Amino acid sequence: MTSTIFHGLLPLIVLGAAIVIVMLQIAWRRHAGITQGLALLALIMAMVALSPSWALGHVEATPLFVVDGLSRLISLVLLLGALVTLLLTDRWLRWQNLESGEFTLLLLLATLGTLVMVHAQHAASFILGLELLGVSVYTLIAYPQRHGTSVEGGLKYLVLSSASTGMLLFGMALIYAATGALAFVEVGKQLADADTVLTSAATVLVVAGVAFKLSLVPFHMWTPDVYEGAPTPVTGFLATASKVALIAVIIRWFAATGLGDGSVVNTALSSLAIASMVIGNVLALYQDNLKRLLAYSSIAHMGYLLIALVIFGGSSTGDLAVQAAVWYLLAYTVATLAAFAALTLVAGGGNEAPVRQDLAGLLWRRPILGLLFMVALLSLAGVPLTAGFMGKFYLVTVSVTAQAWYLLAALVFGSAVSVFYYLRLIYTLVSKDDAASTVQLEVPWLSGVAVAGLLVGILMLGVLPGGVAALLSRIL
Amino acid sequence: MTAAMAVPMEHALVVAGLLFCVGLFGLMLRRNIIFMLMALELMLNGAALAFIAAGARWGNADGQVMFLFILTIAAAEVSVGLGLVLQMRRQIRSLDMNDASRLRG
Amino acid sequence: MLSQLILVPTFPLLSATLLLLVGRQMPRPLVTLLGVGSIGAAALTVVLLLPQWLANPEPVTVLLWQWFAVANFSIDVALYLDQLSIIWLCTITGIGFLIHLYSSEYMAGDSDYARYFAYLNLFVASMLVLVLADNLLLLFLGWEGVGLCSYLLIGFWYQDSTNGAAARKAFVVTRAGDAAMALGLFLLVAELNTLDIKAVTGAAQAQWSAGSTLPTLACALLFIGAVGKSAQLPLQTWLPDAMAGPTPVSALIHAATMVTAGIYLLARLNGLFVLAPDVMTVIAWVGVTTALMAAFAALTQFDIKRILAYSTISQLGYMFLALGIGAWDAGVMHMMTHAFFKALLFLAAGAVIACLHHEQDIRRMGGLRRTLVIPFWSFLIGSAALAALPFTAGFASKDLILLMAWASGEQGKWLWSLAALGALITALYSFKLIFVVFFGVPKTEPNHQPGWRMSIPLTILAALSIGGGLIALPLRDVLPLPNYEAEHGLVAWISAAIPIAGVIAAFVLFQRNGIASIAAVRSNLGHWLAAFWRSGWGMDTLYDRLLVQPYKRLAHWWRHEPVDVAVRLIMWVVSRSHWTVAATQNGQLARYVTVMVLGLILMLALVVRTPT
Repeated sequence: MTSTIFHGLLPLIVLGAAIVIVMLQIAWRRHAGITQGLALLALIMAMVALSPSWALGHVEATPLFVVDGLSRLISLVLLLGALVTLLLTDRWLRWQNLESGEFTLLLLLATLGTLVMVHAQHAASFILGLELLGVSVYTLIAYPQRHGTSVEGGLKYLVLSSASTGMLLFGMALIYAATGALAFVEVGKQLADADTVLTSAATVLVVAGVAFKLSLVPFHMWTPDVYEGAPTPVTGFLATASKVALIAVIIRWFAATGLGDGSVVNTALSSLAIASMVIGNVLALYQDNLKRLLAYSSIAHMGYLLIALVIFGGSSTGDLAVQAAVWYLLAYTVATLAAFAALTLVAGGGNEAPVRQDLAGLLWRRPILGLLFMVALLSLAGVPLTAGFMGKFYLVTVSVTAQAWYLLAALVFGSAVSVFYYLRLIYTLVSKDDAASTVQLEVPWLSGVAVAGLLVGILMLGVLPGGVAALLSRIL
Repeated sequence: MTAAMAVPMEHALVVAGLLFCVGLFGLMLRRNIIFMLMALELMLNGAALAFIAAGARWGNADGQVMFLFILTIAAAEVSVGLGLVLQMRRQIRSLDMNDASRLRG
Repeated sequence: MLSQLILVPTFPLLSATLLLLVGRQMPRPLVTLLGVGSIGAAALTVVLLLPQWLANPEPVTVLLWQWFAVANFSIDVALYLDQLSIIWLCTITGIGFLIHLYSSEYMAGDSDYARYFAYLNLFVASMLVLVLADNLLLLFLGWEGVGLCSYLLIGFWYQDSTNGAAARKAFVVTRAGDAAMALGLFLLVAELNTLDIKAVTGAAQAQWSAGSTLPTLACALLFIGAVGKSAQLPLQTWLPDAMAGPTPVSALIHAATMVTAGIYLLARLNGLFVLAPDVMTVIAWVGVTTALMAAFAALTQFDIKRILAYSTISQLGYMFLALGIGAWDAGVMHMMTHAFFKALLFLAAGAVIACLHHEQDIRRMGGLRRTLVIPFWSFLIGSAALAALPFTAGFASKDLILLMAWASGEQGKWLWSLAALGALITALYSFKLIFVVFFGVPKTEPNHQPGWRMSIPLTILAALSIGGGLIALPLRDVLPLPNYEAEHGLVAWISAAIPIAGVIAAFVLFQRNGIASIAAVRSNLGHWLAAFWRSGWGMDTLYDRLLVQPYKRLAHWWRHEPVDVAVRLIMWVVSRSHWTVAATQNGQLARYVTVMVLGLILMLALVVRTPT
């Protein structure tokens, strides 16, 4: 392999090597501190390894992988997300009396899976990354084996995820049958002359498989159960990293094949988007269980994001649409991670099913956590001066420019409805309730670092979006 | 691979599709988790067969390679799945997925 | 220069944040240091900036950051310093500092000391953002900020519900103005595609012709916003009630700074307003009418603060008159001198009130000139400036306005007459106040004297009220010159003599109690007229009858009516759908798979078309 390919794929190589080292360390002697330290180091080094490749531009690293601006940016986001999750699980595992070695290992494996997905330009590498992520996540979800709910969540996710992978694979097989190619770019070239029945059926199957992972309606039913059953830091990772990686793949797919051009496929995707925005928000309305509420809200957010992707696939405002999609992705990731981080630290000891009442007066009892949660909720609701507002602003601009009125209507409806349940939570955060629950409120310093980073991130993106916006327009 | 195929690709695809559907139906209709895992295997194998058929049509090795990938993936999933099934047996004391429905709403 | 300018609003903002968060736990001296010191630091920065800038008086833009730029619409956060903004900067920080110092003694006995300074600092920060803003959106942010702080400070002693009601009234009335202003801003954005002030002015002058509908509409809407904020007719009803707040608040917000925001807006956008001469005429007439009406109202008030409140409304009317006739620099000058003497008057009134155990009714005051010496002299000088007696700062500016009014065109004579009548009444009520409170028989004895923290600001402001007219404002390059000169000659002598006549009349009527002997005053009509004027020309009752009662009746009638039903229907539909859809989440895996498969089949049916 040439040196450019080596430098391009350096983060993946570093992470892979780190995984092997951690495995050996666990086998030699179990020590939670060392394992976590190694993992932290590995993630930081992987992020550092991104820098030599910035100057390289677009690199075709084997027919399976490509390294370009998009992959570097998303890799950075994914590694940061994994870092935050790791920082949060720091003491959480000890509170739960769980072995931390395998957890850390699985988290690293899952991250590697997401990185592979982001760099994929061929069906094989895509599936490889997808499954690497998936299998690691199954175990992560079911990690606390004492809880029946975790196992239930893990099994549900496993069955449904495998089913959707099956659909995805079948779809890819049909595409292969129609075009004879599996690399995204090759497929794009051949797609126009291929047999339409096969390709449309194939696209539907692929979309179904991907829609499952993105929890779009009607493939969303696993989301609340799995989010509730999984340990909270894992839910945070699941809600963000897997979706981020998948969106990156979709962007690459659309860029290569322009598949959204086909009007019927566009209609199908638009229907998924509208259904997700409407049903996701409606389901979240009276939800008291916080993890379920965040699950439903993430369904809605994926619906919003899909608007940008639909418009990217099918119209002339392509550049702005891609930027809007990535912007929204960033805003969503930071806000959701922040919300789950706050939940992890609030739930802390034994409460893995936090309800709204547990948050009562959090802003007064534990100001930093309360503030983090409040800012995260405001960002999810799209209030100005937060990252979420910029994301929504981009989405509205893109839909107006592309004249996608139904999508815009669903966006407005969804946002309006969502304000209700977000504000209800904020109100609970602020209300002074002396009969508050007995949650463990110690915040370990490493988690504190993660919290501070997230808070700064949300506000920076909202107040000073210029730098990131410029970066995006350069890359995309 | 000779240029002409003995079996038209469409037929093979139909068989693959049928296999896939059998798996899908099994997933919908069976309640025992072991049978659900079996149904999953059927679905994945259906997809794999489709790859083989397509590979034979286009005459290159991609299909066969994907088949190997799928096989490996399926194996990994099932092994994790069986581990989870063991835990389920221990926690919920049953292999019926309808009993594992504490998470709802 | 760049870094120094951003410090000016940052000092008070930081102080406000700190005081809001942890003020209650801080010791008093620290709160005082932060609260007063931050404004002091801002004032010091301005003082240091001034010579630097005066040496090279070019407008300066300091770009802080670009908030966003999407498609071809961008919003920057930038500060703009030119002759206009520097005048306001000096006024706000200078007078602000003096008033903060004064407050540290006035509010010393209050338990919410930290909260007071937090709000006051926040107010100063917002006001500074307003005058330094380089684009209209940032200006609007400052505009809303000062409105919020005004609400918070009027209702400072919220434990008494009447204070809360007064605060709400202030907020709602100014909101009506703000809504119109927002519409004006939307119009500007939609037509000119920018909110940067220089760009708006330039684009308007390039695209719109003078007198056409678009600039007239935009200026009218913006003017309504100014009317609300600066308490002009018909949105002036909130200012007298705003006196429910602490007196230093009334001095700072409702005399020297916030109410001048409307003046600032018009002066800043003068390039836009010259394109709407009809609106300018309306501005002048609204100004002079308000000035006159408020003067009459001030004549009949009993509460010392309400007198000063109506007086503020009246003086603001003069400023708008000046702007309306195109005498921009006269209006700005009067703003500055008014800030000096009105703040002086309010602070002196505060001293009187505080030293008389919070007595505010002038009928229970008297003969205080021997017992409260410093407040007496402050009041005397302040009232002299208010009445525009010669050799005061007020004379320089108000007289200029009167003379410009006379020369300004065909309506000029009428404007002058009304303004002159207003000046007469102004002299009358301001010296009535002096004679009633400081001369005559003492009715309430003061229980202490004002301390150094109250006396020093009074002294400084008194000096400014006399000498302020000599400050040469460098406004030549920024504001357009009117195409006429101020009148000299007979009219000038008459204008100068009017206040003196007013003082003499006040002496006769009130000191010698000559008013009791005028039959007209004692008659029923006289009493009714006095009561009418006292209630602010009955405008509160008018609004109540015209707007509030019908609104309440309408709201009651519509309680069960279509609009409510429609809203309830939407809520009901959304709620029901929640429970219906939530019921599908029954936790059964097989159900989940089935739904997925159904979705898949639906999509396949939608997408796949067999080629025929």
